[in-house]
Amino acid sequence: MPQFDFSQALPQILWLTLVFGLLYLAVRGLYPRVEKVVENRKARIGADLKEAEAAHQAAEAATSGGAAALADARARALAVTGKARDAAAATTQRKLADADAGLGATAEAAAKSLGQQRETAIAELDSIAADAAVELVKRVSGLEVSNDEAAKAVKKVAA
Amino acid sequence: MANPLEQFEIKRYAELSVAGADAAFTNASLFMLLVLGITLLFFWLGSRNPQLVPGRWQAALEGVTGFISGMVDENIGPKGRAFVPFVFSLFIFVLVANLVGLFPYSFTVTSHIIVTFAFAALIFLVCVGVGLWKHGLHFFSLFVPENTPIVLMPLIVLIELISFLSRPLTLSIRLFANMTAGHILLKVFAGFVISLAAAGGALAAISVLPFAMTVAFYGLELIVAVVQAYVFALLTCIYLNDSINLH
Repeated sequence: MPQFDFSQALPQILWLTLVFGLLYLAVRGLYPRVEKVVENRKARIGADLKEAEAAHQAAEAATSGGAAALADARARALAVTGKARDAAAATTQRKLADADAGLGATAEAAAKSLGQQRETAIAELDSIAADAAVELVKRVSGLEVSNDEAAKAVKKVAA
Repeated sequence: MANPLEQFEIKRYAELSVAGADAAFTNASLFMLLVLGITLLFFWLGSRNPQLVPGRWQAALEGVTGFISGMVDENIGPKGRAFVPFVFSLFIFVLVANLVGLFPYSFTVTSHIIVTFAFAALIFLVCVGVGLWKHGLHFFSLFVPENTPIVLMPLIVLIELISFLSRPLTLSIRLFANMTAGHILLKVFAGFVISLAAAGGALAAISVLPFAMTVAFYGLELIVAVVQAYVFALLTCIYLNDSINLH
């Protein structure tokens, strides 16, 4: 086996020392450059992720703020409409009460005037009856009765 | 039939010597340089124009570096950060060498025990050095597990010492044996295809079977190439963790 022919060992060891020495020096010089690129990328990705997280949180805060504003506006709107409804109801009530009162007064006045008219009419009835009595007496007996007498007589009868 | 061991032969392309030592430029040297070149190309493609959203090469490179960084973090912890380039260099070297070795006519650097043992010895020395540097002589408490009865102490320490000293052997032999065995099997089955086809007639028709076998083994070898690189890096992490955190 050529591997066990150690007469050829020395040049291999010498060349290996030279080549591996060069390789090690080259790697020692080049390796940090590669690692730096990787590290920069890692840092960049980390920073980007942090930024995205911050943006996400800001968006979330904005969303919840919007929701709060929405709820607030809704509550305010409800309050305003409620007040308006109450005010409208109160106005209606008042108008209704006014109208009721007006109607009552009118009805009372009407009833009063009706009563007066009836009284007047009843009062006139007596004079009409006296007139009729005068007329009747004249036609039946040919006697002239004065209106006053007739009125007295009517009053006596009516009483 | 072609010799299945021929692929492991060291071919000397140019004679060189450094301070009197034999430093010939061989096919092993060539493929080590190729591994280095591919790794540098990978880094260049993956980091020449870094984007926030990575392209294909950038994603591939960052996938591998992230994989090794994660492995070190998981097995050693924050104290292991300084060893990430070391573990990554081992992982990428073994991985690329294993994968390059799967190309026909190529040479597998990691199929040579001298290479894998050199790596294992380096890891062993780094572990011992880091342990002594970080904990001084207290490092040797690694061989004395907590709550060991005094009676069993000598035996336990001996076992722990043997298991510690055998680490470079197991580490190197595991990788070497996996790569060598896989490549021999591939070569043997591929040789069957040629032999049967050359025999002609009915035998040529049967050559489909070893061909299918070769394809299946090739897929398996791809997995082995990646898994062995992973195991090598993972064990390095575990050994380093022992030295840094002392259990």
